[in-house]
Amino acid sequence: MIAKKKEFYIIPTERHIYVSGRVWHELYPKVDPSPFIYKLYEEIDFESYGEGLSKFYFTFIVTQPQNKLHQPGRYFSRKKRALEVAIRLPYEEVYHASEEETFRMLEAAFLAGIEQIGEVKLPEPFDFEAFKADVAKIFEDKDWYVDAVPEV
Amino acid sequence: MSSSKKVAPGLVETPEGEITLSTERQAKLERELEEIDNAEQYVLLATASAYYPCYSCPDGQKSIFLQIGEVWRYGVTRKGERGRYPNQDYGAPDLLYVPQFEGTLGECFKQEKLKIYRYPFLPEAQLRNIILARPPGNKYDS
Repeated sequence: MIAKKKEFYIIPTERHIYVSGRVWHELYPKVDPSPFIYKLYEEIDFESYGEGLSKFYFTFIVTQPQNKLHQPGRYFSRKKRALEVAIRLPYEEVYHASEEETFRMLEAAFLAGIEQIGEVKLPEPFDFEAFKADVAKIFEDKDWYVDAVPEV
Repeated sequence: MSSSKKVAPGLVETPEGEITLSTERQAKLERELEEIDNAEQYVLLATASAYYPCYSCPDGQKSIFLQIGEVWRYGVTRKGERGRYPNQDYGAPDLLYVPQFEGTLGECFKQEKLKIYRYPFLPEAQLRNIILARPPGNKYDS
């Protein structure tokens, strides 16, 4: 049986979770944030975790070791209730990894990024542990990313 | 021997009467030279199949549909500008920053220019009804 492809739709630009990256050209599309963008938009009810956070911007950094232009870090805008987290992945490991191994590394980095919410003093509660658990649940399906992106 | 001239901020007079750069200004010079030597040319790629702003479209068309992986813009970043994209704001949502070349600022500008001018010959640009002269996110040729 041939699996039915996901019906195409245009993802709203205004949403709660944004996933991007700074990725050396040799590692794209191996490092691909698109499945994260669609899957998290479809399956995570961000508002259910509380009002402490309105937007979560996550960035994968996979640049060559000598590149100092892109650094991991964290920035919280209290006014916008927006948290930006950038996490670096080891270039050489990603370079030599298979597609599946790469996604496992991306998943771990994303979960580590969620963990950082707990280190930020938010103006109101936000249950980052529940958020992390729900995302981890998605990742339990090892093929979650395969058909995550709707085809045009 | 001390001179009778006034010395502007950032300059210091040595006990021998010579005018030199202050330690801070010398460090600033070295930092700025290093920034010129450490630059990268990048491409911003669509991470969602969606409409993106178009600055190079004809007839007042303001947006263009890009598929995942298609080019929105070429650019250059140098050291010291790492904080220029807060909240992943690259000029439009849902873009991936992909460094393509590392070198001096001059080398990176050359790469950027080559890629902008060669954009119309990319398969993705040729497949559209209108062939753009520049990527949608590049308002100008540099």
